[in-house]
Parts: sequence; structure tokens; C-alpha cells
Amino acid sequence: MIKILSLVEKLGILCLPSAPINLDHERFAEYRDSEEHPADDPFENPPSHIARRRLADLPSDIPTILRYFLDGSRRTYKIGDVVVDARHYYPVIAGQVGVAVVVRGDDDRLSPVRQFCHIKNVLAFPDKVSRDDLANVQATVNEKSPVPFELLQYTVRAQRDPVDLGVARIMSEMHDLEIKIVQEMASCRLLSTERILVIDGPLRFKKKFDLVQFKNVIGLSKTFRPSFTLGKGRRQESVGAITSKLDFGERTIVFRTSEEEKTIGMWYLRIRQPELMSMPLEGVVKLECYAVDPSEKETGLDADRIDNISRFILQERNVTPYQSDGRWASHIYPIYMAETYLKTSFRSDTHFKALF
Amino acid sequence: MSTEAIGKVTATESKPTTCSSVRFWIQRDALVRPFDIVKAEHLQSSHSYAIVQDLQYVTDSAGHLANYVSSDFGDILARPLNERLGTTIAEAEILYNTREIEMPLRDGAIVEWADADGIRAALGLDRIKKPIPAGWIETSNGAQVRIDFDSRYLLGPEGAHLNIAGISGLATKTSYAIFLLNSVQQRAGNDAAIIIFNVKGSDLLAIDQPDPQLDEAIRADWQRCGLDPAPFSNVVYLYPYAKRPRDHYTLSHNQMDVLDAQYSSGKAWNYYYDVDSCKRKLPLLFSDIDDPQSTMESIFHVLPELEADSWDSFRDQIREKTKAGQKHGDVAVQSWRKFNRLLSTRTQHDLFTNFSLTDPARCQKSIHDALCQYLKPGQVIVVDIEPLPDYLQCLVFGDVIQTIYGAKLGDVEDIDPKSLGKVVVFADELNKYAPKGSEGGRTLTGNLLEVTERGRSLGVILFGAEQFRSGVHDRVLGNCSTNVYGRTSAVELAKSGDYRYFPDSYKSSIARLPQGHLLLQHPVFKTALIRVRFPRPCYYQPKGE
Repeated sequence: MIKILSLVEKLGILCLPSAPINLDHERFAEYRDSEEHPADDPFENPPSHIARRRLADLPSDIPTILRYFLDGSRRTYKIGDVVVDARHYYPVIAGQVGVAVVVRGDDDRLSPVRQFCHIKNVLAFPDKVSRDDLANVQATVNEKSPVPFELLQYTVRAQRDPVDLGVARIMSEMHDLEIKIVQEMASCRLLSTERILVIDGPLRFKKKFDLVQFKNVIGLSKTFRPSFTLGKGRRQESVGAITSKLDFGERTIVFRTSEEEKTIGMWYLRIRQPELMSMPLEGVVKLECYAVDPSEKETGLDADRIDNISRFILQERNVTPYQSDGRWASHIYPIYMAETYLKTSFRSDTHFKALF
Repeated sequence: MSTEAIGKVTATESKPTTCSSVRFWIQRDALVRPFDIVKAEHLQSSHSYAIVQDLQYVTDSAGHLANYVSSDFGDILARPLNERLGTTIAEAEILYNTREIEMPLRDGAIVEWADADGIRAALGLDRIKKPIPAGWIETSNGAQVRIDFDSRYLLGPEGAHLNIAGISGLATKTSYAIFLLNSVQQRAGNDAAIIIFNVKGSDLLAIDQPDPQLDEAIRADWQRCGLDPAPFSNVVYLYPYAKRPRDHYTLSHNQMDVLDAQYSSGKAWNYYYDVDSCKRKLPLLFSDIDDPQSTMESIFHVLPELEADSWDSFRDQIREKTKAGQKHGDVAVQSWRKFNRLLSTRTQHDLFTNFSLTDPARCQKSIHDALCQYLKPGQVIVVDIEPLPDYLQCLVFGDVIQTIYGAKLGDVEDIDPKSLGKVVVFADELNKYAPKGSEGGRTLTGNLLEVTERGRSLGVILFGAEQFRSGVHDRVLGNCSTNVYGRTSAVELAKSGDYRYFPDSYKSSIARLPQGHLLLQHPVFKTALIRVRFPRPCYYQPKGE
């Protein structure tokens, strides 16, 4: 089998292969939201003076409004180092990125929507390799290798680990794919107030796009930063302190935050009985919604709508991937299904590493 | 019959596909059961056929506790919105590949229902030159495929003998044996004579008469097997003689109108034992008596020397030997006394009588004479031993077996061995004639071992049946090339070593087999067991008097 790095070398780019290393061991997964901006004001209409709200039970015969569930995933590997000017060594990062959407049918069964499930293989080179050279590499690889690859460039920055930069570039590619799929779904008019899409993770896309297409999209985070603060002044409190007071079926009020000029409403919901959890934050999820309409941006998100979404999220708590996933208490099963579908669709580590 | 896809092959690191086994997941709505036959696409545009052995439903739940947690930590009334990911995995045994490729099936290969021709090829039925219809299989998708035994392996010379095991009361063992014998007569009648022992009721005492209540469904079942729904032809009945002039001089419990018709048409005879011919067969009468010192055997050697023209005279001569102070060869008086007691008891039966020269209404015929007259290809002889006690049943059964075996060896003057063809003998309750653990010294068991071990080459074929295989002599069972398994109990499954190597799902199937369903094992089949159905009897079954 033709090795991809040997193809790169034949094009005159000196590349020192190394044993491929999987870079996906997340040592501090719970701090993934560390870059988010602190939330300050309550962002709920009508304004609430109570920090926690108890959600009324949903009648069992009301169909859920949560219809689509999207998960993005990636696997990254350091496969070698490219030598620039015979002096500088920069890592080459390979990855598999994918996005999967599952739909809940009218019979409540979950199945993947193949139209919106995409996987691609990527290779991230430092920007010290010119775009023209990368274009040549891409053409050669796709002609001679049995597996197609898309080549990416990461920008080398001083004081930053180039491996992190390469992985971040691949992550960014995954986010682009997520945005593209949401836009496609919106264009197909699949999303509505009765057919909401739940995205795994926070709504922190550092790209510009039409927010209207994200009107019926919510983000669900299983993990969040416990020291992250909400409110301001004397009312400032850490998420850890607030959520530890939440009882089963209670949510916090909505707080306002923003990302790249996009206004986001964010709240926390406890979906498991706290007395049965081993840690205070277990069983709490963070939910986010974009404020799309001018009135929403002005006065905050509609409290009834937030209650409604929260109640349906609470319904999603069963069944659980208990013992299969360490984050089971804050996981909802459809997202777990999308994640499982995606991960089982990736090439195995052994196969992928053997390509280089 | 549909041929749509029902699943895909799944090969994993821990459970790979092999040359002989495959697993596949099954589409949600498809219904599959053990013994169904499927085909999967394989290399070089070939297809592999496999028989389903077991089914398992698996979910992504890591353990029972995960399911408990998923019900809100043990709330029975909790109704999870999400259904857990799960599928049914079938385990199947590879039977055959259309291009004889023996490579393991590949992950993801489409699995679909096998078609009828494919099933016959997969089981090896398409290469049978002399088929004997043996029932049909019915798969979950509605396919019905006729199953045949290969005559060369059922009636010799390649293999021979058949055994049927299963609990009583389901009208399955005997019905299947008689169906198969009918099949033999229809397909190999020119080459085989059939002897049937009736051991219970009167069900087998009118097998040449059509069932007046035969319905279209049963006819269709026979035709599905490629057979005419017709009773046996060329049948003669041998009943035990008794001094009962009103009952046609027989002990038989058959319906009187049936007996009337059989005697008037010359199809029925009453067998009896005169002293002259019987004294050489007396070992068979005492087959069940333990003889650790071989004293009985010594007595049996002396008996042919006694001159007697009646049973009374014979018994008198034996009684003479029991008097004190006498010495007769190596046999002690004590042994003669024991033998005398047994003889007196066991020959106090109407069966032991002389031939009547003056009264033809008695329709007397010895077993020897009956066999000389009727034992020929195409003929069926039914021997009714139901009214007799066990020891007399052993005598009659053993007499028939010895006579046939002797005839085949050329030891019977009036029978030409070359004209005999094959002789198929059906005996129910085989455990009575060849019980497990009975070794040398038991005349009847010895005879049956002879038949099963050497009968194949001579053309004497035993179709035996019993409730429990664990009760039958291992060597008798071991010589049967074809075995039929009816429903049996869990205790028997654990007790009999023959079931040890069956897959667990097959054992479970055997314990739950419905009426009219059996598992077959035959050398030609490319799998150990297949599950078949067979038609209900098409002959008249008298109610008995």
C-alpha cells in the first residue's frame, strides 16, 4: 500500500515520519468551556427574581419537540514533522472529522439521517508550506492513495504549541461542517419550533453566519467549568454553587452571554436526582439558545419557551449510557446514539495509522 | 416465498466469522428462528448458505444496573422516551458455498432468505440418487422444502438403521416411523420387505385401509413430500393365537369388524409355538433373566435333546429333572428347579400349543412358516404383540429377528436369500429388547447387536424407537446411521450423552417440539440436525375393542 508521507516526500517536501500518536486524550474535559465569556445579566422575559425554577411535569401524551440531534466528533493523530528551511520542524496532524444527525421518527425510534452525516479525512500542515505546494500534495494524495484527504493549513504562532494549533485547525474544520449541516437542514425547512435540533456542546462557533438559520437550535453541554461565574456584583456566584442547589427537574434562570457578536441565552438544568449522584455537578446540563429576534436580544428569551425546552430535555434523561460513558448522568441518549454512529463509522486507529 | 434481505454479517475482533460459522444482525421486523436457512453474498459472486443455530438480542447496555438506572433508578412506572439501541444477532453454521469457497464470510455481507433450490443444495439433498421422502422443512419466511433420506444410507449398503427417540403421548414417534415405512414402500417397494411390530393399541392393525376421514390438508402434506396419500399395500397380519373361537382364535384387541375382514380375505393369521420348534427358541423367552453363572445357558443346550410331542410332555420331562438326588450333566438340580418354575409360569399361555390339523378356523401359522410364505420385496407383515406380556413379546420379536437373520444367511431351508431383498423391521420400545448395559448372555440383545452391526451388509435394517435413548444399548444406537429426535425432557437431555454436543438452542428446541415436528440427523445432510414436519397418517386407525 502506498504510504501518504512517502507521496509527500516525493514532491520534495521533507517529512520525517513518526509513529502516529493519537492526540484525543482529553485530560481536562470538564474545562472545555474555559474560553467562554462570563455571563452577566439575567436574560429571561418576563424577568425572574428567583434563581431557580421548578418545571411542571409534562403530560405523557404530548409529542416531544426535540426531533433532531447533532454530534460532531474528531480523531487526531500526529503522524510526522515537516522540515522547513532544513532547520524548523513543524508537526503534521492527520484527522478524521465527522458530523452525524439522528432523527426521532413519529414512532419515537431514532435513526441516522444519512443526508446530514458526513465524515472526512484531513491533513493539517503548517502555513510554512505554501498553498501551491499543498495543492500539489492534495492532488497527488487523492490520485494515488486509496483514501481521499483534504489538506488544511494551520497558522504557526510564537509561544503556542504547534500540535495544539494543528488540532485546533481540525476542530475548526469540524465546526464548519456542523454549521454547514445546520444551514442545510434549515434550508430544507426541517427545523421549526415543533422540530428542534439539539447540538452536542456549546453554541460557540467562531464564524459568521445567518442566525435565523439557528433559531430552532439549542446547544447541550454535558460538561462545563464549575468556577465560571454568573451575575455580577454582590450577586455574582459560581456555576458550581448555583447548580449544586438545583433539585431534580429545576433549572436556573437564563443568563446572557455572547460569542463573536452573537447573543446567547444560557441556563442550567438538573436531570438526575442529586442525592443519587457522586459529584455535585453530575446530572446537570448546560443549555444554550441564540437570541435571534431583535426583541429577544433586547428583553431576553421567552421564559415559557425555555421552560418548555427544559421539560422536553428532562424527558430525554432515560435511557442512559450508564457504565458505558463516564458522562452518562449529563448525557442524553439521542446524542449518545449520534456519537456512537459517528465513532463506529470512523476508520479504526490501526487502519488509519497504517495509511502513513 | 420472499428472498428479501434480512440482515448483514457481523464480524468482530472477539467474535469473527470462521469457515464454519457466521453471525449476522437481523433487520428489526424480520422473524427468524433456529433451523431457518439463509444465504449470504460472498467472494467471486458466490453465495454461502447457513443454518441458524441460535438467536440473541443484544443492547448497548453495559449491565443490568444500567437498565435499572435508566428506569429512573428503579421506578417501575418510568417510561423512557428513548428506546435503547439493540438488535438480534443470529449465530449460524455454514453449510455450503455455491463455488465451494471456504473462506470466512466478510463483515457487512448481505444476508437473505434462502430459496428452495438453494436449501436443497445446501443440505446436500440435490445429490441424492435414490431419495426416500422424509418430511419437509418450513422456514420462517414460508418456504417449504421437501427433505429426503438417501436410500443408500437408510437401507444400505453405505449406511443403515434408524432410531427414533421421544416421549410418548404426542403421536409422533410411531406416526413418523410408519410414514417413513410407507415412503420406503412407495419408493423402494420392489426392493424391500417390511415387518412392523404392533406393541400398543390397535393403531397399526389396519394400515392397508384408507382413513375415511382423510382431509385435503393431510393429502396436500403427503403430496408435498412427493408421496401418494395411500395406505400400505400387500399387508398381512399375524396375531397371537388364543383359544377364543368367538374372537377368531386370537388375543388381539383389534376391532372385530376389521378382524372379520382381514381373516375372510386371507390377510390374517394366528401365530403360535409348538414344542418342537420352540424348544430351540426358549433362550428368547428368558432374555430378561439374569444368568451370571450361565446355568440357564447350560440348560438351553440340553433342551433340544428332549423328545416331546406336546408342551405337557415337555414340562413333565423338565419336572423329572428337579427330583432330588439326580445329576444331569453339569447342571445342578437347584438350577433345574428354578428353570422348571420359570418355564411353567411362562409357557402357561395359549400361544404355546400344537397345530390343529382339523380346525382351519384357527388360522394357525408359525412365525417361521409365515415368514417363509410372505417375506418378499413389497410385502408388509404386521406382527401384533400388544396383548402379550413382556417376556412373550421378547420371544416373538427375537424369533422374527433370528428367522430373518437366518434366512439372510441361508440357514432357513424354505427361503432363498437372494429373493429376499432388503428387510426392514420396525420395533417400538427398543429399550425392552436391547436395554442399556446388557452385555453378553442376553440372547435378544445379542441378536439385535448382530443385526445392527452386520445387518447392513446382509440387508436386514432395523427401525427402532424408544422414549429415552439413555435406556437403549449404546452399540445398537451407535450403529444407526440415521437418528430422529422427538420431544424429550430436560432430564433426558442431561442424562443421555447423545445430546451433549447439541447447541443449547437445539436442546431447548427438542424440549419444546410440538406434535408433528422432529429433528433429523442423516449422513447425507451437511448439518448435524434439521427440523422437519411430516404428514399425519393416511391409513385407518382402529379404536380397539
